[in-house]
Parts: sequence; C-alpha cells; structure tokens
Amino acid sequence: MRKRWAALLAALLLVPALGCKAGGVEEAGGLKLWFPAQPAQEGRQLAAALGTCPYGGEEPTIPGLLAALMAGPAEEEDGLAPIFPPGTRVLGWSLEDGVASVELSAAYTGLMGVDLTLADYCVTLTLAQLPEVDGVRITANGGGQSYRERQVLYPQDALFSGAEESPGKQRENH
Amino acid sequence: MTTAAKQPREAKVPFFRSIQAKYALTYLLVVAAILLVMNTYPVLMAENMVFTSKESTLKRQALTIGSTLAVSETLTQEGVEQTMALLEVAQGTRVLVTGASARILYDSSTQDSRVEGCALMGEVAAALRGKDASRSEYREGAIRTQAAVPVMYHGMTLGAVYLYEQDTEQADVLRSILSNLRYISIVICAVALVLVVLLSKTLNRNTVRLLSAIRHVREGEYSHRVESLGRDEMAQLADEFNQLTDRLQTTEEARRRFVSDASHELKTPLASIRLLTDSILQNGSMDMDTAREFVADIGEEAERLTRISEHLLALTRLDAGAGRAPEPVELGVVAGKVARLLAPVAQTAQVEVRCAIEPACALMATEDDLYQVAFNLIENAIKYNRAGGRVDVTVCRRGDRVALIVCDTGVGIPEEDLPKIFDRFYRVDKARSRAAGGTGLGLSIARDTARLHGGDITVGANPAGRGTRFEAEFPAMRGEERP
Repeated sequence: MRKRWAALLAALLLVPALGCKAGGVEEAGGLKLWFPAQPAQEGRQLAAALGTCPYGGEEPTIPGLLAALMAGPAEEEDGLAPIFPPGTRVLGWSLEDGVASVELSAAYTGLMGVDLTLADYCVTLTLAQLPEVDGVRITANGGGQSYRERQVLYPQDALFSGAEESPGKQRENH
Repeated sequence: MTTAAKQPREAKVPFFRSIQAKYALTYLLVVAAILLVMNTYPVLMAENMVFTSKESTLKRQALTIGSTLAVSETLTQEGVEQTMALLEVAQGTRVLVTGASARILYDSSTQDSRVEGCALMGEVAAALRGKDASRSEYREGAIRTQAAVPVMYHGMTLGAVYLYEQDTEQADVLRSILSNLRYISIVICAVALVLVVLLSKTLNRNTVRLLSAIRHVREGEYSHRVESLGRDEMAQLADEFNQLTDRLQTTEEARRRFVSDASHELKTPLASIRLLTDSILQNGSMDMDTAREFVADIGEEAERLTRISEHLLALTRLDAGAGRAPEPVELGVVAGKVARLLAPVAQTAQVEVRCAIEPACALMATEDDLYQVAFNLIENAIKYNRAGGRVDVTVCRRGDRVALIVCDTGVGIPEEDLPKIFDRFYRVDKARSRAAGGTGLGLSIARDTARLHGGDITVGANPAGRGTRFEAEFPAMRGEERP
C-alpha cells in the first residue's frame, strides 16, 4: 500500500514537469523565427504555409535575427524549410523611420511565385517583432520584386486564416 | 452427530481480492469499454461525415469559381471583381482570389477586406503549387472548413481561389450529440454499478455458502448439508459436496461403530480371563481338575484375543493398502492346498470336502492373500455345517475372470442377514460363532482382500438346496502379464 502511495505522489510531482514545453525554456524574450513549412506529405494533414521556432540567440537585433534566418531551421524542427536559396547572403541592412531595409544577394532572385512571397513574409514577420521595426523592405540584386505593388511589407498584410479575426490574433493563433 | 454447532473459524478475504470484487470489476470493465466505444466511434463517424461533406461542397464551389475566372491570361483586381459580382456564393462563405504570388485580388469579406494583403494559408500555398487542398476541423465552437483550388489557364497557374466557411449550427448539433451521449453514459455507469454489485453478490452467494458449509464439516459437523439451487456448476458442486459429506458421515459412523465393536470384542475375552483368574485365586480349595479346566478356558480366551488382534492387524494393513507386489498365482493350486490342510478339521466335523479345479486359472495376486480368502471360505463352510454334510470347492474360468466357489450344505444364512454378513464383527449366530472360535472378522478380511486384487466375494443360498454359496471372483491374468 505504501508503495502505491509513493508512486502516486511521484506521479503528481512529475505533472508540472510534463506541462513544460518541449524544447526547454523560451529564449531571448520569446522572439520567434519564421520559416516556410515543408509541403504536406501524401496522407498527412495539410500544414500551415509558415511555421515558427524559438530564436535562441543572445542578441535580439536585426543582424542577429537575419543571421538566424540565414542559418535555417534547426534539424530537430521537423516540418520547417530554409527561407533562402543556397548562396544567398545578406549584403547589408539599415533602419529608417521604422522601416528596415534588407539587401540580399542575387541568389534571392531565384525564388518565384508563392515561394518568394512566403520568404518575404518570413523575413518581415521575424524582424517586425523588434519594437523599432514596423515594416521591412527587401531588395535583391539592387532592386525590388515586381509582384509587389508596395515594396515595404508590413506584418498586418499577412492573412493566415479565412476567419475574420484581427491580424494580431491570427498571428498569435498561428 | 454433534448437535451444538461450533462457530467455524473464518479468515477474512480482503474485498479487492474477493471473487465478488473480481466479478464486479470484470463487468464494470466491459461496461466501461462499451461506453468508451459508444462515446467515441459514433461521434468520430458523425464528425468525419460532416467534415467530408463540407470539404466536398466547398471544393466544388471553389472549382466553379476557378473555372469561371480562368478565361484570360492574367488575373486582375478589376477583372476578378467583375466576375465575382456575377457569381452567387453561399451565404456565410468567405471567398478570396489571389494572384500567382498569393497577393489578394478579391475578398468577399465586408467587415475585414484584405485586398492588397497576402494569403499565407497552407491551402493557398498548395493551390498555387498546383494542388487542390481542403481542410475541416472543429475549433472554438464552430466547424471551420476551407478549400483552395488553383486557377489554371492553359497549364499555367494564374492564382488561387480560397473559400472559408464557419458553421456554428452543425457544430452545436454535434456538441449536443456528444453531450447527450455523455449524460446517457453517466446514467448507464451509475445503473451498471448498482446492478454489478447486486449481481456479483448473487453470483458469489453460493460460493460463500459452500465455503461456510466446508468449514462446518471441517469442525466435525458431518451432518451439515448445503441447499442446492439451480442447475449450474455451483449446484453440481453443492450436490457433490453433500454426497461427499454423506460418505464422510457414513465412514465416521462406521469407524465409531467399529471402535465400539472392537472394544467390546476385546473386552469380552479379557473379562472372561479376569473372572476365571479371580475364581482360581479366591477359591483356595479348588480341586486340580477344576483348576485345570479353568486354566484351559483362560488359554482359549487368550487364543481368541490373539486371533482378534491378528485379524484387526490384518484389517489395518488392508485399509492402508500395504502389501507385496502381485505375482502370477494359480487359484486352483491354492484352493487345493487349503482343502488338504483343512481335511483333518473336516474329518473331525464329519464333513466331506470335494474339489473340482480347472487348470489355467491364474491371476495376479499374492499367494498369501489368496490363501487367506480360500481358508476363510472353506473353513466357514466346514464349521457351519452339519455332521454328514458336504462342502464343494470349485475353481473355474469364466472369460476374463476366474472364480473360487464354495458351497456347503450347512445351516445356511437367513436372507435378512446376507447384506450384513461381510460387516466387521457381524455374526448371524453369536453363540455358535464363539463356540466355533470365530471373531466376526473373517469374512470382512476375505472380502477386503479380494477387493484389493480387483475381485469381490458374493454370497447367496446354495442353489442345490440348503446351505450357503460363496463366490470369490477375480480378474484373470492377461497374456502380457504371464512370465
């Protein structure tokens, strides 16, 4: 009987531990890195277009975040794909009036269609978490992207669901 | 039988180890399993049906819109708006039309139009990569369904059509079904619990009753019986218990009677010896002849005591089943030896002994045991005969059995005494038996010995006329047992 009570007590003590998120304590003030989701495999439920993982760097700065995005998702982040095509480099960045300008190398122009849009918004949503960044302008090979009518991208432009919720709530739910 | 019933000792079985608890737990597990299936499978089936139906409907609508839009090489905001104005869309459904880069060209939402934004849903991304996609789920009180299809023009993806529907009515229906199932399950659980307790108690009642009866009998209350109700295995067990207790009671009564009879039989010669010795000691002037006569009587009583002791010992050995290993023995040879040994006794009693012995009547036994049987039967036939009478000893084979038949022309045994003739210490004529030196154990020993070797002894009237016929029958030795 005593053994049973001891086992029950041990189980109760473990409950808080089980409630912890897998992946450990949240890093650097809860910033996330946005990456495109892997396309859904046959038979698996369709994944969202974008996914997130915690930013594990020490500096919550634009170069820090860009470096983390450039490194791609960690191996254990199953379901996320790298943003940038191989060979892409950050040539420079600047911040003016709340708009962060990111200049990427020519390899970035290899992205097209929905893949380019997803990549643009991964960078935008990641950098826009910084309080000083409202919007993001991305240039590659010296120029903007032709599909954009506006060259400055804002996080509130992204629609994640057909439900009529506020963009902030949508990003939260996502 | 004891009249005052002793309270039998009872060891308490912990409830969770008792059969009643096991019955109850088993039934409860079955009920729980059924309820679990009832609460999950129908709900899952209903959900799947609703989701599949909704996805299918929405996808059809999206395909209709997509095919309507796919009329030119490009999709423009104005062109899409004009086309959508002509189409009817189900109320409550939000329609988004995007370009090839997911930029929203058209949004049917009046509250929150996101034209110029970007549709970053997984379904839209899949559609822009050329695949139809749909998904339906229950979340936050509503069934939310979305479907996206590409807008294709001559193999080129121009954009995507995305539909989103939020249905709270059907969600409420599903939720109420689940809720009702849950309430019904709770009620069923409660009723099942009560029924299970009652049923397990009823099933266990007979076991408890039988256990109590066993404890009573163990304490010596052999007259205790169990009432057998029903026709199941427990009722059979109760019947078997009652029969077993009957046998125990009979055996116990026989044991007590035997001990009582044995004590009496031993006490009688001892009392005679005591009386005779007291007479000799107290009568100082007894003449030698009388004294010699008294001493001879003492000797006879001592011999009787010795015979009784030897017979009791023989019975004890038979009861224990102890004995030498059986060997092939010719019954005819043994019977012949006994007849020759008793010839002087027969001559003195003026009784003729005739033997008719067939050859090859062998059986597996010990020679001593068969000698004992033949001696008892032939000696009795001589002792309880008339002067001028006859004893016929026959040994014959009947199929796979061999028989020793002893018929006499003596006084015979009354029919009412026949069933008891093999009981220990039973005598038809006590006076004559004592005069003949009998102990009342001879036939009992003979029958027990015969049964030890798979045979038996039966008795009846001599079919030839007056007298008695004893028949000892044994299984004949089989071919493979021959040395």
